[in-house]
Amino acid sequence: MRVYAPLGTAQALDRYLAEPDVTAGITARRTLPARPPDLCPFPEWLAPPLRGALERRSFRGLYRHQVEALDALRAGEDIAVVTPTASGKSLCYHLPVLQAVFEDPSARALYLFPTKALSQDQLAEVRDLSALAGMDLAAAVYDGDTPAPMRSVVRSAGQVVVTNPDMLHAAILPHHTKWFQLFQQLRYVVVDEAHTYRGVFGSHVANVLRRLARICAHHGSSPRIICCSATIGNPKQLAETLTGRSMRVIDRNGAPSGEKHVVVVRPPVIDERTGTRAGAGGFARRAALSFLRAGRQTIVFGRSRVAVELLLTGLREALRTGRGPLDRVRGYRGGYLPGERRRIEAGLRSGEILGVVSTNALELGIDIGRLDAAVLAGYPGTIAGTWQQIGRAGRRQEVSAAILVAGAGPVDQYVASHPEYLFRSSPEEARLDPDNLHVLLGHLRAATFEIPFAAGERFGAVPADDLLAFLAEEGHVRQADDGRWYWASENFPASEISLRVAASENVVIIDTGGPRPRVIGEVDLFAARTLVHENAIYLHESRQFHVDRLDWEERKAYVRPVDVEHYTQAELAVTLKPLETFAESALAAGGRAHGEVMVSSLATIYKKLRLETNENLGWGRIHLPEIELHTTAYWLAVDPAAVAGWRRAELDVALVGSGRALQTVASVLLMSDPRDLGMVAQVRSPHLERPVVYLYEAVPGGVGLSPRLYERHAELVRGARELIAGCPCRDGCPACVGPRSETGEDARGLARRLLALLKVERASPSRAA
Amino acid sequence: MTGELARPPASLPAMDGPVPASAAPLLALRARRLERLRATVESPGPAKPVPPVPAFAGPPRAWSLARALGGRVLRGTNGSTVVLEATGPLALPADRLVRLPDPIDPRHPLVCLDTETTGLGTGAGTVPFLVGLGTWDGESFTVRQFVLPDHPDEPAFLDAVAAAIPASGWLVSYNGRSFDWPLLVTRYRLHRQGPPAHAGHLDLLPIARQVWRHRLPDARLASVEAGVCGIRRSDDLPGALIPERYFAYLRTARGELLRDVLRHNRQDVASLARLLLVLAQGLDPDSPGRSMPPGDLSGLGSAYVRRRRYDEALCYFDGALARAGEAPGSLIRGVPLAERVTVDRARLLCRLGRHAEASSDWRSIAQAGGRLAALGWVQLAKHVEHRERSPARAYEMAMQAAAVARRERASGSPQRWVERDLERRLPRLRGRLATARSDGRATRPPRLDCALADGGPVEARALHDHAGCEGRQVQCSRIGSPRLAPRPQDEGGDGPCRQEGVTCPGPVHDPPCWHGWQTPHPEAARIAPQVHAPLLPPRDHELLMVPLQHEVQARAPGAEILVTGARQVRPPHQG
Ligand SMILES: [Zn+2]
Repeated sequence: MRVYAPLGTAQALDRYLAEPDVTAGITARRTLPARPPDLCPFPEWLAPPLRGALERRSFRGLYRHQVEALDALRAGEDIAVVTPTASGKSLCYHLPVLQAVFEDPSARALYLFPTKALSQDQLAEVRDLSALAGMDLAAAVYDGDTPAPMRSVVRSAGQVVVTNPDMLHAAILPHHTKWFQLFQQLRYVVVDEAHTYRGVFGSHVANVLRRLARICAHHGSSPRIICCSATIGNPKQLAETLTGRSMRVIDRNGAPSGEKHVVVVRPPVIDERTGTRAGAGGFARRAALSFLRAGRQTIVFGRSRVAVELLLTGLREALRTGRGPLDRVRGYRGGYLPGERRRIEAGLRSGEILGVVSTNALELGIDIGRLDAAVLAGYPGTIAGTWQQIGRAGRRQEVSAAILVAGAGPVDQYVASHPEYLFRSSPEEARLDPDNLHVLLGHLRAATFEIPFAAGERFGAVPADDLLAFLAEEGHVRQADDGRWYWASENFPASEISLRVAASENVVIIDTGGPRPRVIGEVDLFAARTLVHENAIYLHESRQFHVDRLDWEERKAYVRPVDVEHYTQAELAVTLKPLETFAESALAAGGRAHGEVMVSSLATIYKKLRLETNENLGWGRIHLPEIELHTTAYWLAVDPAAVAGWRRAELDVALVGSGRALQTVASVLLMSDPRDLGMVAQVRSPHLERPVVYLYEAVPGGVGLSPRLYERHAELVRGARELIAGCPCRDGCPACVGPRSETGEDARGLARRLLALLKVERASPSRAA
Repeated sequence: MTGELARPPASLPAMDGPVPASAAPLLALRARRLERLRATVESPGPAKPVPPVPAFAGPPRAWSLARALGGRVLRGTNGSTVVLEATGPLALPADRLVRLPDPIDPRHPLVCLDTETTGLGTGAGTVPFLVGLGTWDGESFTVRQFVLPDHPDEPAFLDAVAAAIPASGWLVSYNGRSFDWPLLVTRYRLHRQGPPAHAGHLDLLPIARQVWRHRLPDARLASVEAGVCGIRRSDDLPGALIPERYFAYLRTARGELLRDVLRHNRQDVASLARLLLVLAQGLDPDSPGRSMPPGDLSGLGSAYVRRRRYDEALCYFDGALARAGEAPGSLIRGVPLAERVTVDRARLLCRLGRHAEASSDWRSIAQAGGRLAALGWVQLAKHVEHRERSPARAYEMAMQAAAVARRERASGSPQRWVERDLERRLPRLRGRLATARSDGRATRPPRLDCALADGGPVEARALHDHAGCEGRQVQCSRIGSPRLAPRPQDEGGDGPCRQEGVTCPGPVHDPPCWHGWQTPHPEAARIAPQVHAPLLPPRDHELLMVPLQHEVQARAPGAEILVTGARQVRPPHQG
């Protein structure tokens, strides 16, 4: 029997790190020193009731970033606030909004949050604050759950309207004439968690904001925009691309923090030949146990529901045999009802609950109080997400600790071996392309529906007449004698756009597990073949769904929730043809380029792979038609002369291996899901007549990843070489160049040699980043 | 090719600044992409060159449209509108409309309103391109139609419509409160104006649904007009085709394409006037409803109930009942007219506090044994329990209701409302009875399942054996015709069992089993209809409530009843 004595967080951390296999796996250990608050006096123009409310909350002033935000807005600037979790970011928008309402009760504000939970949290926050200030604020959430009688009240009288991009897109903007009071008086638009608006979703949201700006201009308002983002590499560019405005970045965090220890642990190799590593789950569980047994409040993040269940069971089991605080460890999932969530949050605040095991549900800024330790079982996929999870631990006064246990996948391994990315400067960029033609045309339809376009009127940076003429060919839009473009169709164009997919033709995913079938999502046709083929495991909000049937003709996938310990990975047979080169430049022994391509692909088979270890559990065939995709790509061509002596098989292995490593590094640099970038290796490209590796965007039209890959080529190749060099496997493994080749070639060595040929060496006329 | 195109602009310009120099290559790239997209569209049309902004060419559309339709052009400051007028005699005793459930103030001029639109949505992109307004001048009725010649003419069009609606006007429409008017308001808002003022708005759709729908296939205006006024339109353009007609007109500028639309709209406006006339005639103050069929009277009565005008409602219900014989076989929502009206009337009487009269209505409904008999029994049970304070009789009536409900379910039209009500009412009444009986005596739960098992070739298993429960649910499989009889039980113990003699309320059966047999206890009646009723479509399992105070025995030879499981039932006092 063990005896538990309360220990400090630092001691509990030391105890865990002292275990030999953990010690061996530490790739980074940093202590972030305690920081005092950088407090500024309340701005003197701040309304006395607001100041009073803050003082009643024992504020003696505002943090530097809050004051900077208030001043910038006061001066008429649009701002992007980039400060960590729990730094009082939300006051940067609540205060100016309440100030505006105080000065003029007809002032309105629109809050956009990516999730309903966040909407509810921030609604409660702004209501509390206004109540404390004795203000009578009409604030409400307007989303799919808002009851019909409430809706007209919110429309006509809501001073703060809290909603999400989907609702703004489909329910508010197309009906802007019913919201004229809001749009006539809109002072602030708040775009929180802006870093989640990247890729296809971000490209859509940028266009929704373009439509919003048009409508505000029409009704005579010009609101300031307040973006808030987690720390990423390009917050200014993200906010500017998203909003189409130039933004003032506010990133001097003035919030205090206690001392924090952050450790990155990489579980050891257990099979030297294949390079297989121990799973992250076991190491994460031991870390959590060390903190829990010391009586420290701990949150453990798993990457999927299954991972969470396994961790929870494991922790409870261990605590039972050890007589630990068994009942005080709870699971917390995205699907929990609000009441359940609140109970867990209250339990954490009161200390009644000691540990929580969560999926990413908690990542997006939901307030659960601040804990002693955070344990991340696997890299959350982005550095911003990692810091948001790490940020759950951290008290104002005391020491806190966070441990990232890397999983076996290549991205995890790459990040674990580059801890400087985590601690020095984040290399990751949120990318979106509001001018993706498919996305843009869809929103242009919706915008024309909302307000006719004047000739020469811009949508984004340039006039939209060329696109409107294209739409006129389809017949939904017409140009009248006054030169304006009018919507001339019975259709409701907003309903034809889903903000999650680029193309208009999609497969709808239907959950048949509940009492009645329920649509849980959509995927575009191209992705559908690899994500929702029959017997695929489809992930939605960290839940696994088994695809029972894919009705390709009807574009419907029928799924039901399951809890299994495997995932599926489909393989595509891809042919790729470049259509247009946008830029190219020479390399040491080859060239790089980016441009538009046509990808034809046929889904062939899928593999069942065990979570954590990626062990192959079986495979099946996929019978679906071939699909063509127009998209953008970045490619690397090798001088045939430089590889003249290579056997064909060697070249193939080298190209595929380098491509895999480049894919891994690219997904880190551009915050993209590894599935967003496809890879094709051609030993002899029929178009370029030489060996080529393509990284193409798996989204019609692309979302701006490939031009950035082209620009960040040097970093990309360096990263790929380091990834391969740093891998402990002997001759290739899934964490570096992909599964071992059947032919027994030295994939690692070959890929390294090939990547050396692709370094930037000659003076290049183009600009490399 | 350089890297210029690929580079994201360092800082995007505001939308109202000058077009940046980088726009040209961006537009060039977009042109190539559009070209490629055209190529992938399934039936690639010829890639038309981007048309330049068309200069003003030929006579304005308004003139040619007016010529084609025989209307005149109304020129505004911001475009033109085409107006058509048609006048005919139509005398409306409008002052009677003050008696409508939603009254019209007779001092206001009536304005019949109907629009034709480019779609069914009310979003900002749906355009009402034709507004028909019907007004009276003495006994003549004028329909004035405003047509939008082209999109840019909308400001003038809206001005013209606003000018034609007097601020004191009372709008009359069909579904206009939720469609036509909000859509018009949307257009005024889009042009940053307020909507025209008006004094009131009578939407005839809800009235049509309440008064006439019962004898019509649907509640579309044309159907109502045909059914109520006997006017059938020939060559009417179906509403669904109207948007496309207008788009075709916009493409071709051929005004004659809109002729059918104009006629359709004129007929709609005239229909509104005729329906008002029918209503006004029905509301004749001397003998209200004389001109209306009894079914319509009942609907009108309900409409008055909804407006809390109970005296008028009662008057129309009585009228409908008195003349129910004129419309034999007339059904209202699937129920014979007289039965439906009696129910509505009984409900109204309850609301008015005239409970004695109401209960006699309920009794007649219940005893008539019609489709709503179960409802009648439930209402009687309520009445008897709460007003006559006789839970035992109330229970009896609730049991009658249950029997009817079962019959209705078996015949494929379950009455869910009654069933849900009884799920709570029966246990509650049983609880009241049990409390009244027990008076502090400890209940001694006998082993029902054993008793059943001993009594014959019957299998019984209790899932729970929970002292303190009033009863259990026993899952039975029926095999053939069951012959069950209760065994007068435990004579010394639970005396009050015999207090109520209840007749099994089930339908008459042959061979008789429970029928005509006096049960010593309401619970037996509860069991009886369920277990017997061999004529009902067989179900594999049935849930029986078996009281612990009683034992039931299978007497008949052969395994006619198989009790396959028993389930604990909550004591009723716990709800
Ligand atoms: Zn490796």
